[in-house]
Amino acid sequence: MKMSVKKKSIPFGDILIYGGLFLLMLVILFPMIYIISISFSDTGAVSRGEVVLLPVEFNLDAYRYVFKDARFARAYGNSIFYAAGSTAASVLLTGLIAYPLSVEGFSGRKPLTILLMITMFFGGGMIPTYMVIKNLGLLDNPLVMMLPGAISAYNVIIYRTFFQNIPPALREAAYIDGAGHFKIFRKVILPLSKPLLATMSLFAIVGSWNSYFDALIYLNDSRMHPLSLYLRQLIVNMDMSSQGMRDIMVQMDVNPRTIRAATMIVAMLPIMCVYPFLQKYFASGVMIGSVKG
Amino acid sequence: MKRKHVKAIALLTAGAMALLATGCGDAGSGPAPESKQEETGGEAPAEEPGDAADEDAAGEDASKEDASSEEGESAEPADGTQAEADYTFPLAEPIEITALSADFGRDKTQWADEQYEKYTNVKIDWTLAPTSDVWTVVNLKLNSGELPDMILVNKTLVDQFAGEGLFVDFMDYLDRMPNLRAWMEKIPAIYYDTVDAEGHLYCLTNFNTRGQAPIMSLYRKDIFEKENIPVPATIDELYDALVTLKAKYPDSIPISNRWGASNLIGVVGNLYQCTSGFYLDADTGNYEYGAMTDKFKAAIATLQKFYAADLIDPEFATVSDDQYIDRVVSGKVFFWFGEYTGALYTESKGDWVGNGKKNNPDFEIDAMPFVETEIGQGQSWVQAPTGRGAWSTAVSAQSEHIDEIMALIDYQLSQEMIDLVNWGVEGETYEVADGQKKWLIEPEERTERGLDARTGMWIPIDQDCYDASLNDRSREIIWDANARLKAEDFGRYDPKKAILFTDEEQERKSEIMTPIKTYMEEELMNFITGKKNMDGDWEAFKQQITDMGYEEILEMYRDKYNALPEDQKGFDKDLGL
Repeated sequence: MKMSVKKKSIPFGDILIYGGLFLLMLVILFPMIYIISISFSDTGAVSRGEVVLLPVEFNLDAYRYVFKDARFARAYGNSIFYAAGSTAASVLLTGLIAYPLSVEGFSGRKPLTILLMITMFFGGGMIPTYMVIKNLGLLDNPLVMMLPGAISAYNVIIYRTFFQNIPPALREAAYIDGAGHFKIFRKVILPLSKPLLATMSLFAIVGSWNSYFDALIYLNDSRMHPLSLYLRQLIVNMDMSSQGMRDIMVQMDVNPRTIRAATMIVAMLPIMCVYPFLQKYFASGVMIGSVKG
Repeated sequence: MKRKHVKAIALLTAGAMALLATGCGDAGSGPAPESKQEETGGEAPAEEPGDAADEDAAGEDASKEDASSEEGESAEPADGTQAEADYTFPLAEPIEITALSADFGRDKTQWADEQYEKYTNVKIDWTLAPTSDVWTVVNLKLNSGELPDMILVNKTLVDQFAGEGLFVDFMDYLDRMPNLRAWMEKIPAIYYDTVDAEGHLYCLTNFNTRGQAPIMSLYRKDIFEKENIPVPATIDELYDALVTLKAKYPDSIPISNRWGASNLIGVVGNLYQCTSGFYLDADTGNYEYGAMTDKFKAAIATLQKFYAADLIDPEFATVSDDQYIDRVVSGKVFFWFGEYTGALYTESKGDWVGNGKKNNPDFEIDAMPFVETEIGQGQSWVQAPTGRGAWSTAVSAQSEHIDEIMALIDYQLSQEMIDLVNWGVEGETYEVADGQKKWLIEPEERTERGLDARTGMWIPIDQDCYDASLNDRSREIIWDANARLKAEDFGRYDPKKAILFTDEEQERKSEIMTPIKTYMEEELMNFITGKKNMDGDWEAFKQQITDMGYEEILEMYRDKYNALPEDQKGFDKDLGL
């Protein structure tokens, strides 16, 4: 056993790696800092191109405007609601379908898996899906943002694989102790799957936070629209190919870039806050030592 | 095992089929003519037992508007929901209808909606799709057959879906729509823009109370004056002036561009009295294909010449709106072949000059006459009063309130309602001084109240209303341009009647023209940036397009144009100014 901590020169490879990563970080950070600076700058200064890295003529007007806009607040609330709901639905339902599929002796395993796989390769297309949603009474219903996408075959496979790595002995032990299927799922499988749940929740939250298309086609009432749609509208330019659209565009009042930037920052915040809290679960290794044998 | 799979798949397929079938069934059910006849058929006897013919009843009602509406009110309680042929607003019985349009940053229910409801007793349950994605939503609704009572459409979509009986024909109701008739008389394009080959009017194009010349050639007045350069009158003088300026200001980008290369090519093409695609040529009096004409060649040669002298933004094909405005406001740009003038001085539109002055107190942009080219007087696109059907309203044939909606649309075209949706309420949101309407509220509050009429359903848009929202100087420039337009005639007008194609023709057209367009876009960039020369290479370019078969489509255009009645040929120069 070597205990001495020698002061070594840093290997060339490390310099290369850290240098590369540092550059990468700059590339990723710059646009964010730029947007943040714009959001705190004066509108005129921004359109004069004076903002490069730090805010010019610092002020909070843009944020004042953003927080005053009732549509923004409403969309924000909707997004949080949809993200929470769809994450809960996704984790619960996917877990419930994946668990039996991970059990060796389950007879319906193969056919169910095949049914699921079909959905990975074939979709109904937009119009038929719309019809299904409509006939289910989900149009203009907040549930449409949570239920239809709750189970994806791909996620089921990930869940199943993870569950399969949990030693069957644990399940059998619980069974012998008198636990039923649901109890085993709740008391043994789920607690052992925290890294999985954290990761998949994060994906679900981010996915829900960023998705706008479902809301666009299924929610007629703009009061139910999520933040992503509001943002998209603020930022995406219209198709300018026809003269008519150009004309309409020009007649519209301009949204100053400061406001667009401020909206983006505020919209980004929750996701940025969620990351660090879920990160600690990413580290796996919960399983080590759970079976002694 | 294997058999099980097959079964499962079969079951799934069957299920999917069943869903599809019910979906289609829904879309097809309740055909339009039936339900409409039922309504009118049921109503005529109930109201006037002696009068049997529907059409006569309608005609009569139109002539004695007041009398019949009183009757309507008294008849209403008697037979509950029966529809009346004529209506006065506010309706005696409130109705609620659904409508789909683009939101333009509006909220679903605003002050303007409340006023509208008060005036009409019609509650509109809006689906306001985000403007950037509105056509996705409209397409979905049309494809699924799930139409709201009123829906935003465009002419292409109407051509595609009208055959399925989705829309009400405005012509069937025209005799009951006096206001629409009056507007059609004033602006015939309202009819010609969207009428189909069989004379059906399945949608009503949006329109403004008048057209205008919103695009002008602009120049940096302060820089030109400082350097003692007179305002150029010809394209050569312009070239010399910009070369001089570029030499003095090496950092400048004398000409920039946004919205892609096609925008610059389009504006310069207009200057040379042509476009890159099929267009009605004033000289030959028939359709031409731009790329084949000498005019267009001259336009591209000019662009090449300007580009070679570093006068054109090297990134002209990719500059974004924000970058473009940066360049303008920071004083790098000296000349615009054609640009919208509303943004120049108006704060809510970006106020280019105001922001420019903060960098350089002398900063000044002014409009100038279009320069003369080798071809003659430079031209510019003018904004016709109508939207040419690119933005139209259709009424669903499945609606339960077709008669009321038609009456509502007609009422909408009355001065009273035009004022309401554009200006709001007199004394509260606007005032009339010396016969001119003036805003009493700030632009922000207008948005908050929902006063923009541009939701697209509340036509027409009062052009004076838009102009009144501009800064005085911006407005002066536009009015001056309008006055000049009358005197000098530099407008590039649309043809009176757009050429219509059947589905098969449309297919054939895109089959041939899509590859040509792609090829052209690529090649034009090569010509402008000087990678290809205008002499030998241009002939090869034309040959290639000929080989790709454009002539077949040009013939289609020409045949259709020749077949038009004489009064529909030529240009629509009627801007209603």
